[in-house]
Amino acid sequence: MNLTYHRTFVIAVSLLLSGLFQPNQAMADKIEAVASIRVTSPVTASLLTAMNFTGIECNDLHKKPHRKIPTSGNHNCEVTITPPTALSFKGDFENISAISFQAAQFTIMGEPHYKYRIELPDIKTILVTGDAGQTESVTASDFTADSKQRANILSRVLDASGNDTVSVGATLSIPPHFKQAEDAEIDINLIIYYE
Amino acid sequence: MTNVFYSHLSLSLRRSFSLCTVVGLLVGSPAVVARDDDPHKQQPPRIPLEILEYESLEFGEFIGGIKGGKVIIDPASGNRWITGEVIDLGGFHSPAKFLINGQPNARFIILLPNKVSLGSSRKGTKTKLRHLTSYPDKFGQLGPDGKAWLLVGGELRLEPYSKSGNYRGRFDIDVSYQYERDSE
Repeated sequence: MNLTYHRTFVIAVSLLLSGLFQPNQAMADKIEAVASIRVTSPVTASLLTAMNFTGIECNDLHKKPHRKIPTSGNHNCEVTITPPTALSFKGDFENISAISFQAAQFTIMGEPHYKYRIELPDIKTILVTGDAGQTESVTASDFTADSKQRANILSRVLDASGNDTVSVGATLSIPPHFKQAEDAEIDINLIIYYE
Repeated sequence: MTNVFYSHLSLSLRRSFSLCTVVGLLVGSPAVVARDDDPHKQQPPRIPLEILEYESLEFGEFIGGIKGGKVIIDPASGNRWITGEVIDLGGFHSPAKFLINGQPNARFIILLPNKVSLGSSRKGTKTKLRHLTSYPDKFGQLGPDGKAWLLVGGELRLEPYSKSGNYRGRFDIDVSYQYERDSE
């Protein structure tokens, strides 16, 4: 009886003392924290088809007095491509059926469903070789895309795969007395970014 | 004879108990034993420390760029700094925010990991969070109400052409009371 009492007592005291010597769990605490970042694909434009034109011949009205001189006094010829394929002419073109003017086409890649903006150039001038070997300046202006745009900026949305296709047209201003001898391309530098 | 043995045993146990009690009281847990000789001395805390998470560490949204760069969250100000060619797309950013509850006016120590790996849902794509810092830095003190805010920031390196995705990583924050043991 006495021994049982002492054993119980010793065990109780041992437990008490061991409890005192054990580190107190309340002295510290630990928490699992979370850190996160979202990395997004850049939006990029790659050229699928360049803007190009061929077969343009603008008559020199001064050399052909029988033709009516435009009242504006501007003797240049103008050809406009409205994307994707619509062509319109202004001025005295020779053999319109031979003229080919192709809109530029870009593939846009980026983050699915993201909105992005494209800034089209204001004006671009290139040198084109004529039939006499001379070079003439041809100006491309009023760049347009196949979507609503304000000034030269347009807003679009990438599809579920993060892709989009954009066609870009422009108006070419051809000097008079010029007959194009070689195909010509117009490089378009797009500024593209997420909205 | 048996009675004598029990008597000896009983005496021996009593002595052991007395000795253990004395040793226990002298050396034992500081949570129980404390002297008030030095009024500036931190008393062993009796209220358990508890950390509650209010905000996770958010860096926001970026494009890795050609040369990559770093995104740094300053825990004290909550400001975000960007270096290199990382392109900022905005998004929510914040230091991790925790509320520590415990003994009023008690001091505490903060332990952060050296680095944390953040992985994306795409296999094999990872980025590293380094130089984790906290505010307060390393040591803090609970207020009279037994509460203190703990803010954690760090420096995240984005490799060039980092693949897109949501990168996440988990890490432990250890907070423990800082006090002097009487036996020391």
